[in-house]
Amino acid sequence: MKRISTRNRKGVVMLMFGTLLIFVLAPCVGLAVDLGVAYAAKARLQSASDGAVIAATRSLNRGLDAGSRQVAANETAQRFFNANLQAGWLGISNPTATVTFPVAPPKTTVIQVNASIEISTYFLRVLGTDSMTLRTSSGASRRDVNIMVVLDRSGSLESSGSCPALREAAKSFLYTFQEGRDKVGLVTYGTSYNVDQLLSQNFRTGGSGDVINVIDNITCTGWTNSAAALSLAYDQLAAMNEPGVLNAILFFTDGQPNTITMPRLKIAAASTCNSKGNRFGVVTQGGGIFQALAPGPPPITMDSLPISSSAGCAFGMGTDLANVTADVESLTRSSADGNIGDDTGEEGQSADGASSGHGSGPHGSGHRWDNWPGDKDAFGNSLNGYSPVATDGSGRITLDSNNILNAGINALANAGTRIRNESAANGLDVVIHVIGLGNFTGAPALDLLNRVANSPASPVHDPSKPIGLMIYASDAGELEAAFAQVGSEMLRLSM
Amino acid sequence: MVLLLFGVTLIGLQLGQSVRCAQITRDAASMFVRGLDFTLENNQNILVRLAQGMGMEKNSGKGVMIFTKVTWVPQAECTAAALAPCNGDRHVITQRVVVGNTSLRQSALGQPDSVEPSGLVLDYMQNPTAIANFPYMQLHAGENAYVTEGYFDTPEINFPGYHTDPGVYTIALY
Repeated sequence: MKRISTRNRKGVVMLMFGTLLIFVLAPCVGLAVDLGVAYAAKARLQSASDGAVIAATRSLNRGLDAGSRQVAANETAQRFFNANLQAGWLGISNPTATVTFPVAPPKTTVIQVNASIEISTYFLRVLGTDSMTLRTSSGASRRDVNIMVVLDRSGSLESSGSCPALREAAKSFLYTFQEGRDKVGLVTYGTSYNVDQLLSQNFRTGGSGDVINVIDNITCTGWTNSAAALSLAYDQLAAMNEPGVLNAILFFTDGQPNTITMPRLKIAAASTCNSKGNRFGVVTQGGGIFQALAPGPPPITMDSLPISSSAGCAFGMGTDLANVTADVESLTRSSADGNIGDDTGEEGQSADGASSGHGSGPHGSGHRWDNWPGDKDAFGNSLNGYSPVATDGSGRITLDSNNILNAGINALANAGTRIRNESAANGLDVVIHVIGLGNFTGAPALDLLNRVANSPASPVHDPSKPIGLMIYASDAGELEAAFAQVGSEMLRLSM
Repeated sequence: MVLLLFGVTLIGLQLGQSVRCAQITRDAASMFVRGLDFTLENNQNILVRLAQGMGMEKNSGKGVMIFTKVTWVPQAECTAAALAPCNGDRHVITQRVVVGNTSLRQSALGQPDSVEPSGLVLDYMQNPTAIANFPYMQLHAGENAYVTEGYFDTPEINFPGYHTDPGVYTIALY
């Protein structure tokens, strides 16, 4: 047998190492580098498609019909996708994003972005692979929204110069919703409260009656009748009754609720009013207005004038509380006063209509106000709670400035709780977002606003009920951002 | 051969950190665009947990996350509000929140000088420092871009003379 010399064996090792280097080590290194680059590029691609789909979903408000909404979403997706993926980074080329609108569940819009890029390889091209194509997919959905916007238009906003900023912030907020899909309504309130716009899908194209125009014409005057306005807003959502959508209320205020809406004020025997029957009335810390009992809480649209039916009464706005107390004995009645007073009112207005559509309060079997609980306002919100109210020896809530304020505070806090409880029972799950403005004496207390929103900061926070945002703007310049923050929350984009 | 392995190791570490940075930034961007308030300590804790292993702390450490909201101010808005001077027809920064070690890196979008504790930029219509360096796209009037920048220092892959000042940076526009 021929022996192989030591020198020749060294050559074999060199040959084996060279072979190993070329056919095993180099491809492994190449694979590691190229796959590493691909992995990094795919992470960037995923981020780009996520950004595109989120921005596209956010842009749905730009279209006024289905076609223009899709055009807006597609254009936005392309812009954000390209902005996130600069061509050339890590050898990226041919970035492509395709926007589709898959069939969606009812009351929901779904957008999908399918994205792809090509990346050049560094080492794998030796094995004939010059490039790799990477693909990702992102989807986002947006529930349709039914929202009632409740705007304080009390005189303090005028005094602090905040009314123009409120109008602009509210309009910007409304532009985040989709014309033709979302439903937007508006309640404004001072002393009075009124549904200025019923829930409508044509809130931007309704001409002179649309929400934008209504907001443009808001003038700020009067007191702060918060509980009635919030309750009235909920009544609109309850009447629409669409459990499949996101039902929400945006409640804005700059002051403590210093006004209360009562179904049956007890008129004093010594009053100068021509009729001494119990009356529906709105009482503020500086006066009040009232009228005959109606089937349900009537729309109260006047801030500065007494209602003409107050014949003979000293009771009226623009006066001080002494004029009210001259006519009104107490905010509530006791059982000793009986259930039914002068239900026909001074103008002989019909008292019928047990089912008024205001489904929030306890209804009697006959007249709406029959057997109305003495401790509730006209919308069924309890006047008792964490702010103490004084009563007389018969249990009536007496009429004085402190009681009006504290009863108003309690009614507002309880309205939030009542709305959440009732809407949970009927499947609407109304969420209440609250924006407070704190640039005026008598600004709303944080504690109260947190209770209304059921925010995590509320001392009575209930995690089993819808949780709203509570945002406090310290001056009018922050209102735009506060409204925008609520808008972002409400879009409820999900991926 | 040694150089090849050295280079591959370096590239691998750098890519690994880049991927992590991209994923953290992406997750943070998703939260930011949904309105999560990163001025709140609890939400900052979420970020720190998200970046676990990268050495980021709420106010220090080896990482920083910069959140910026950018919008477009049409000249018509300036005219309507009778503002002069005004940042008309410019992209402006309306919100800025920074979490982590602020000394590591500044935002590529600019540094507004009047940021409230809530993150809101005061007077962005008129303040020239609120003008954003925003070459990425043209926003529409009323449209916002939620920009999240993530930067993480990676001294463990610092090789003096060859690879210095290492760090990974990602920007996400949502």
